[in-house]
Amino acid sequence: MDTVTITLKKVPGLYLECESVTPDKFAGKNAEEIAALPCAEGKRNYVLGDWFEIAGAAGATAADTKIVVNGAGTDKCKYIGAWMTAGEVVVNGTADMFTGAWMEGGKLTVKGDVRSFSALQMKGGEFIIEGRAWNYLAAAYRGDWRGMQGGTIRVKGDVGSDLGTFMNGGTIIVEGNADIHVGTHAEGGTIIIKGKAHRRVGGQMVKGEIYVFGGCDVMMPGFKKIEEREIEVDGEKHVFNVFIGDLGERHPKSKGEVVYGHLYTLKE
Amino acid sequence: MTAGTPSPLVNLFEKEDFEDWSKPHLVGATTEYSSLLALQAKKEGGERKYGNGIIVSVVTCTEIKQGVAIETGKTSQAYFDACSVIELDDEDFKTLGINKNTNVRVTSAAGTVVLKAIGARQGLYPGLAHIPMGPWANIVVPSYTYSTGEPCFCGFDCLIEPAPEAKIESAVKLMHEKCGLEYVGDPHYD
Amino acid sequence: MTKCIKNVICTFCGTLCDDLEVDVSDDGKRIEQVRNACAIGAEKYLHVGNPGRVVVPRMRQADGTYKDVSYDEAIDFTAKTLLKAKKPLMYGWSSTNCEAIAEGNVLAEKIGGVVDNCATVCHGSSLLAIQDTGVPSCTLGEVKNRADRIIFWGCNPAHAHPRHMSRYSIFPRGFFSAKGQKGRKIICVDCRETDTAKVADHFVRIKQSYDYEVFDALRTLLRGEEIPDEVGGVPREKLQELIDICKGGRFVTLFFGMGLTHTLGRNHNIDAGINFIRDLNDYTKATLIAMRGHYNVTGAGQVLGWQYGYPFACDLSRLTTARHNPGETTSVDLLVRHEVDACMVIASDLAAHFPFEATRRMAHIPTITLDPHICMSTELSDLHIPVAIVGVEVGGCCYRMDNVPIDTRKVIDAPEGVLTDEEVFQRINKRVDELLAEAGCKDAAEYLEYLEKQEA
Repeated sequence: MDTVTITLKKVPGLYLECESVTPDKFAGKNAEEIAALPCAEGKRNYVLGDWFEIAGAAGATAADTKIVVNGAGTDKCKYIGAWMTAGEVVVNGTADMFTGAWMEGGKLTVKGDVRSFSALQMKGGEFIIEGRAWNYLAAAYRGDWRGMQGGTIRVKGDVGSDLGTFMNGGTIIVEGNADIHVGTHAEGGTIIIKGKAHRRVGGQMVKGEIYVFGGCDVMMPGFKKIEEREIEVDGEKHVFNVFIGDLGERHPKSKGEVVYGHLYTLKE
Repeated sequence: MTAGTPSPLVNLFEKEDFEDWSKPHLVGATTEYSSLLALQAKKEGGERKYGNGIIVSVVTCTEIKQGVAIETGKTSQAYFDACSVIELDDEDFKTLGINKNTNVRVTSAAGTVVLKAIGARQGLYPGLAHIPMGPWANIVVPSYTYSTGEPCFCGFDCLIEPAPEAKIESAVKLMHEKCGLEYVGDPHYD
Repeated sequence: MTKCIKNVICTFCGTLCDDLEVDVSDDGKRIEQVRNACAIGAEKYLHVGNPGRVVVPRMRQADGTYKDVSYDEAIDFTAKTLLKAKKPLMYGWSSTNCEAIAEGNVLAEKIGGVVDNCATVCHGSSLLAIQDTGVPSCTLGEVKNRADRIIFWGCNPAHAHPRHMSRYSIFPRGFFSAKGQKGRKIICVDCRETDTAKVADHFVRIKQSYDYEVFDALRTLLRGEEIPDEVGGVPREKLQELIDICKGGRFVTLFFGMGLTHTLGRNHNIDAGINFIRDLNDYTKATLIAMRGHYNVTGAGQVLGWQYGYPFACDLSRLTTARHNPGETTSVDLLVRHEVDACMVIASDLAAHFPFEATRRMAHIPTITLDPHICMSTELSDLHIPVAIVGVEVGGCCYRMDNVPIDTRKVIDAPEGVLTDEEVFQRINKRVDELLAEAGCKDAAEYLEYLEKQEA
């Protein structure tokens, strides 16, 4: 795997839209060709070379390419790793909105935080966030009913609101706490929250699994406890209270059985 | 935030450098601030009491008086009278130990403003306060939008402290002062 | 002698009352008397003659005082400021007519700005929910003629839309609602006992921020499932009663306002509300209508919708594509995140109604305000361009809260020399074209590169 290291020369005044920073766009290009890829700050069009110091060359295909993003000001860069299908991207710092959005494969690691709308409608691949994630992580784009569909996200810190809205598949593991609205409108997928979830967990949920180790501050009225069961989650075995819901929402039938969403909270 | 803010709590949120907008809110400015307030209050041994003040949840709404005053003019006395107030429940006046129509200092995660505390015009419950929409209310409205574009106009926690000696600033002067601009006045309304 | 103008459209709130009578002086310059209007509407017409009206553009100087400038200078300054900015914000639009909005959107596309209207801090979250789940709606005429169950949820028409209750929702007698108020059951759900709650048959007080949970409980009950004894401070029996009342009606209409859109959860509250109404349609006819605030905020969304496909928060900075992502391209987020470097406020008061952190940013970047009156925004702007008042001094198309277009009327003449919003935008557009042609640039992105070269 060949590594391209790009380092921000200066902090953008507004926000830099870097949808070119993916292994797919870099593949098969040398430093000079990469420097000529487009990026934009507001309506002003730039090339990557205007903003980044570029070292190394990309591999022949996306899968052979690793990109390392360095420098102060990565938190002013949007769309890093968006639409990537293979390869690897490492951001040594915080990344702004749409990081890893519509991602289909490969591995994306952010050492700092990611801001809102990251991993939007993600389809596959692995996304590791070592800091915190802001709102709408792995949610659907506005007006779309297909949220995250596959892949794995691991967040070491807390997450903001609207985690996994309209989620259809895939796994999200949050090692910290979550704010309001977890898995709203979910129709599949698994959300594991090791900390506490604030409120409105699984509202309007049709299908899918949500594990909350630390419990919810306020439980949705549409959830009903059915049993207690020992389950292995992310390598840990615990006894969980099992709830079904959201009973206020429509539920499809499969083989004559009504399918519910499941919410698991740790038994004290 | 103005210098010499009374509550030690505010310092927790005092943004030394407001250019770094990312510092304060992650898991909901309102949530974080609320739990912090609750924690502090519990330490003081009360439900909602904190120092010589109380903690209330604030909503900002439109009102007919404010609507008429908007049309009269945003620099008019009518607008000042309609908007530079906070409505509290009778119970909360007792807890605060003040009479109606006393000035109070209102502090939230976003800022501090002096307003006149008046009795509820439309029914509240203890722990719920109302400030009519306007420049005064917006000093304390947290700008956190939960990434929807809609700031926390309703349902944010505030600390209310009696401040009978403090003066309520006029709207234009208040905005200038808080924005760090010099207020020179205007012949159109001064 | 005065002459009386009948059927005047009141341009204050989203109800757009169309039955005002205005007495105008013989020379057509002064309003003497207004009939049929509410307190706010009357004030809107009567205050026009107040002294202190600004009639020429004002530019702020270094020492903070204002200097009068000509419209030509003001338009040149505006065109240059917007062209020079990498990402200007054009916010407002809710208190002007659709013609001006259409012209303004042309300018926004030319200069690569972000167009956002007052919905962003008002019913923006409702629009998000509508995008997510659709909306079973109707017009106010249907409400008047058919509705026998009215729910006001988190809205206070007694104060914000004073004639709404008498014209459409509570008191009027319609074709199938001949008994008027007697034939209707009014439910009010709020955290405060508002003046609207006082005229309602049933007032349900819920704890602040528990709207989503209560909607969820109602939907769960509607499906015959069990809920806890109390949800959001409301006992289960009360919620069941509410459902029974709704199911017993022939036509249910839910009006909702800022109580849902401003509180915790925002778009999800409306989403749950829409789904509750959708579920109710299994039993009876049910609809909902958003209580839009400003008289043409709906129109701003309509125009932006047909021009670019999105009702608000439309980012045109790519010049060739329109993007829409509330949370990123909404005014408050743009200002607080320091994502815009110039601002134009049109027919709205950003500084009075945005949280202060956003206002502070606006005060520190170049700002131009188009407003007939002095307001908080004009006092924090670099330039204030006065314009004629829509619905008083100039007519034009406006949309009522239920998306019905109504043509407003001119009542008196504007002060001499004062332009309308539409004229101002036409002239700025012309000036932008001239500047681009002078520099030999095909669009605003090229013009920025040209400016940078000039500076170097």
